[in-house]
Amino acid sequence: MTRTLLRPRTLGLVLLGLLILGFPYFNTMFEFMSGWPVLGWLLDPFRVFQAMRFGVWLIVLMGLNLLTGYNGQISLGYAAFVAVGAYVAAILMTQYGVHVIPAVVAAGAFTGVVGFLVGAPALRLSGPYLAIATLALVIALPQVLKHDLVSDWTHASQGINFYEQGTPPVTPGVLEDRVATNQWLYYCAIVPAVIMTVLAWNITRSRMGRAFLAVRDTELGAEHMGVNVALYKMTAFGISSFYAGIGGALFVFTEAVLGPSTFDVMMSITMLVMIVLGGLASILGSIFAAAIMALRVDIVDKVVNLIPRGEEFRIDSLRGAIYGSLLVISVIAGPWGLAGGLRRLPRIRDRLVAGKFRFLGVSGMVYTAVRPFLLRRLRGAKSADPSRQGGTEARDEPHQEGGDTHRR
Amino acid sequence: MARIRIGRWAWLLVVALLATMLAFSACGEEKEGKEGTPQATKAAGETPSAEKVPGVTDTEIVIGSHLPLSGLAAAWGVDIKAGMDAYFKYVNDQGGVNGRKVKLIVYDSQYTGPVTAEVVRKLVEQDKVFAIMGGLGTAAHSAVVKYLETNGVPDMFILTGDSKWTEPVVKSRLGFLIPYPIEGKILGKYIADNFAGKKLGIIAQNDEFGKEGEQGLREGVKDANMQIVVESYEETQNDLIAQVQRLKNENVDVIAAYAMPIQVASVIKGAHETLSWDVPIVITGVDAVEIVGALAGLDNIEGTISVVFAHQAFEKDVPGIAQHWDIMAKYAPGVTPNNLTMVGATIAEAMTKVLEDTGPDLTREAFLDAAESLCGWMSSVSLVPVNMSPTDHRPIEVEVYVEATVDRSTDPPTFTWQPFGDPYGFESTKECP
Repeated sequence: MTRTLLRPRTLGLVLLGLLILGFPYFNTMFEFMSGWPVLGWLLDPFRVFQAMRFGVWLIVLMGLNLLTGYNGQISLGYAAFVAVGAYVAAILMTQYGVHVIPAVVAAGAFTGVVGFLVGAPALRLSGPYLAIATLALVIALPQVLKHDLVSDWTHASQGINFYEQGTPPVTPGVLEDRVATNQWLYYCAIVPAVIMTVLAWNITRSRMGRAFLAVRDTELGAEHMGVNVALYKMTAFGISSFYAGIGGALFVFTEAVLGPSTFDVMMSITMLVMIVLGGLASILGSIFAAAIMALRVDIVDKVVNLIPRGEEFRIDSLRGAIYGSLLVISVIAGPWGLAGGLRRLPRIRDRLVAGKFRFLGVSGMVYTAVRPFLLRRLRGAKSADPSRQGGTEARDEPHQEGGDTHRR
Repeated sequence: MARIRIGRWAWLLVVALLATMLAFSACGEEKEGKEGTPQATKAAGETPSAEKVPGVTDTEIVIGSHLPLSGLAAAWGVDIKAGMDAYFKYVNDQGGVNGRKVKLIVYDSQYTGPVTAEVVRKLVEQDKVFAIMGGLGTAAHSAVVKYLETNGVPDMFILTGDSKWTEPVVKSRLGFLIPYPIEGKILGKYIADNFAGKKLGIIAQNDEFGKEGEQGLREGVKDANMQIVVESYEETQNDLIAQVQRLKNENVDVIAAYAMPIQVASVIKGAHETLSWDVPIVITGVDAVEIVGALAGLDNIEGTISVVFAHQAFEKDVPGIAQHWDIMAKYAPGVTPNNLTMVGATIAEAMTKVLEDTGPDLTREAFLDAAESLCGWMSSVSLVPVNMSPTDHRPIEVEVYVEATVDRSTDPPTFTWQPFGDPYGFESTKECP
């Protein structure tokens, strides 16, 4: 028993758990660190809100990654499912007085069923055709939500507002003195996020997850292996919509305000971009994606502020361009996403040592100076310069693909 | 063996970490307790001056704003921000407000609710602003309005005309643009006066903005015995030629449009150019900006009617406007003053006025009281006075009609919105105390 607890892996998980549980209190606990470079940034009280958003986005993006990353079905209409989940939960909570937990579960289940059914046309469509078909969903949804037939529930363009139509989320009475509202909301988002992440981890490593990958890589091959392609495609849609529903429900619970244009086409596209940046077909990738999503406003703002403001040069009008170029640069620099890049790190280091990358200018000089140390650390002092022997090719091989495959 | 050794060290680390956490959390609670006591005395109302007001130091006042600096509505946000920035820089160079410099932080709301919710929380929780001003976009601001209200952050001069900001009146919230139902009534009066007994075609965006405008227009023409046809569109739709065509088939005599600049331009161009249909068009004051002329084409827009609440950027002979050109030239070179930079500068001026009126003992309460008692005040560019009271949180309720005019004697032709007639409106604060 003690032996298993002593394993570094278990220990890492315990530490991670403590980190997640204690996070909202770190800023008061470690107040003296608030001036420190990196830690100070992390200890800002505002990070609690961002961490809460991170939890919500994690669930949402995890679902999209299951569909697009693992199952290879590109959906531009994913935000529509998030909106459905958000609306179902919001209506249940404000108009029928349902408690938040059953409301969130019901929203997830309902959206999951809707997604499963919407997945049926997906059987006939693939690639860009599927993308366009799903795009129609997200374009049509605001009009449907504003339609007179449902406006008693959705309040048309006014949207749902917990402050006016229900009760805004607050810490339940028992914990009131110990947990502030923003800390409480953080737990409300992060606990489901952890559960859903573990669930996704298990799904992707089960028979179902392997079937998803097989269908993505070659439908014909999967069919020959006895995979029911139709069923698994619809299931992927269903499961990803379940995630969307839960995420949307938590979004509206933590946000308390919801309108028909909250989840629009841009949101859909942004989500897709985020999982590509984070890393497709990877749990870690979804985590990175959610982190970028939660911090993107900060990131763009930082970059914008880095650029000096000239008299004639109006940087504010270029925000969109800066955001776009950041995306392009990151996709060119690492088409495999952040998670893929991390996995490839050992290989990149090997290539560095092998001198396969060419460096010019200052970086070349630095590299020439550092290279012997890199070599010594990696191979031991005895090893000669491997680039002359050409023996590194074979060394690269074991790193080629890890356990769960990753496609570019 | 190695594994166990790692484990032992790591466990020590965990224990140490736990110990520090416990120690610090104990400290934290103690501290909270200490902070709690002054709060209790504050509640008793002993020394209000000792109260720590967020965003206010002896030398600085921090004010925040959320504007769309990227995305669909970026054209508005960027210019309004330039106007605000320039005006506050000017104020700071004059010595600030009651000895304090104004620091304005503007974040990009991307014109969407979720991003606005994020940046406004950032302004309140991280930057600890004294007040929020000039939040733009109905959907965007809806996402934060209750958050600001419950946290007691003054929510000043909201740059959208939704009537829900000022109805019912909330102490910490003030509108700025004229509410759309009132503006609709003003436009409706013009239509009733000129087209009584005829057929009116309304083009309204399918959201609060369009609905409230339509409601105002209907009220304005109530007694004029007019037939009304309504066409709506979604905000994502840019080309409204189909709607215009349907109104033409209905043989309407005048069109009133509650639409955003791009769509309004599409209506004007579609009717006058594409369909060669010489129909009079009346548009919301939101679109009484220069860019609509460029979008619609100068030949097409000529004669279009709208409303404004202040002098415009082209009227350089008005002292306030001349001053605005000077300020912009000095503090925001590269930005040509226009009606949007004017809006930014005007709310910055109103903000400065309220801060000045509050006096050196700046608290949120006193600040809001000062804002409410703003009455009969003319900003440097005002056409009509700003009147407010504890029951009236709408600075502007009276507007002036303008007509799109093109002066062809210059090269290139200059396009302006020329005011005509008397100011008209529904001021609810009749007399200043």
